[in-house]
Amino acid sequence: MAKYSVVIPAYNAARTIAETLRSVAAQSLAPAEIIVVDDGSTDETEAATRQSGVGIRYVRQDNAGPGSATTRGFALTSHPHIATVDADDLWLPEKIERQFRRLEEMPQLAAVFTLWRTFRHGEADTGTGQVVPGWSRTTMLVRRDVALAVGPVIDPPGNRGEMIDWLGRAREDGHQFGMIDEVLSLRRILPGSMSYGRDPERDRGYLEVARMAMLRRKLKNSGQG
Amino acid sequence: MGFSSIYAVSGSDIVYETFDGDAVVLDLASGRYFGFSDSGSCVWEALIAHVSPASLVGRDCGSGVIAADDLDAFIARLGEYGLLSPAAEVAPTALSPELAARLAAARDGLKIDMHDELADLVMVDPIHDVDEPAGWPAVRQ
Repeated sequence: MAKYSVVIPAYNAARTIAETLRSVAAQSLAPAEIIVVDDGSTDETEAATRQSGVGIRYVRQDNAGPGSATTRGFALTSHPHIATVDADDLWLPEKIERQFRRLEEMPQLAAVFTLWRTFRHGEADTGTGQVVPGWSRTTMLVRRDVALAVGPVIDPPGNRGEMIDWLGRAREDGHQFGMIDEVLSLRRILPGSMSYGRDPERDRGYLEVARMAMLRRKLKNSGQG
Repeated sequence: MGFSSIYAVSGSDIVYETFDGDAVVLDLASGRYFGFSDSGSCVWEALIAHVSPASLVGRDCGSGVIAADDLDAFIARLGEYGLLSPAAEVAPTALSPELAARLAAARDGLKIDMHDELADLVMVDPIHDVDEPAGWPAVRQ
């Protein structure tokens, strides 16, 4: 059966990471390894991780951003596929199994994603949250060779947009992505989390991502890319 | 559009920044982003600073001057993309010397390029979850 590693970048995720880990451990197709990269948390993330009851490899680094932690995790994996998840989001039990099935059906795909639905932290999931295609770290199952070939996940200013940049670069390199048209992941709405709300400084990260994409295009068009 | 108005950025979904003289604009609602020629960057910056279009016509721009037709077409394009809107009751400002100098040194004509290859990735971003009663923002424009 297909073997995969799980990479979870985490920063001050003590409130949520145990639930995330349990959703990973509950997969119908169990992971071969789970790597938590603690990006210099100042809360009890490590204790919550170790007390979750889920067997993991815990690695800590100085705070450098979610992209850096993801890249570190990629480098530590040892199986042919990598699944990633943010430390506050959840997987539904058949997520990975469905994704491997899609990869078997379409071996040309480099990565497979799923729809995801929002739920509110501290409230029961009513199943009524917004459903959108989860082009994101939380839903991604990617071939390890592709993940390493695309290169580091670069953190823009404000620690936002790093996966937009990385996934955009992967597509520019010709890698094909698949999307399973089914909700198999849940995204937590948690005010104060890295990805919640609007912030001018963080919006700057998205602009930097757009700028980098234009610079790459310019370089390519000039024949140097 | 035309020259009778002062303009402003069209709402909070439009974010922008100038990097080393190159303006980059992103529409967070559509996921499209925009780049400009050098003169286009200058004029974008001028317009969102409430410089009147009429005061830009005839300005030195590279080896020539800004033509009314070119500026009109440029502003129309900004409006079509949803980046710029007429601003009511806004006092016009003067073009800054710094922008005037950059405009005079520009090499290319007024131009804006739209890119949408990242749109699906931007669109899924959590910034669009704005209905949290206790969170930001209370009211979406």
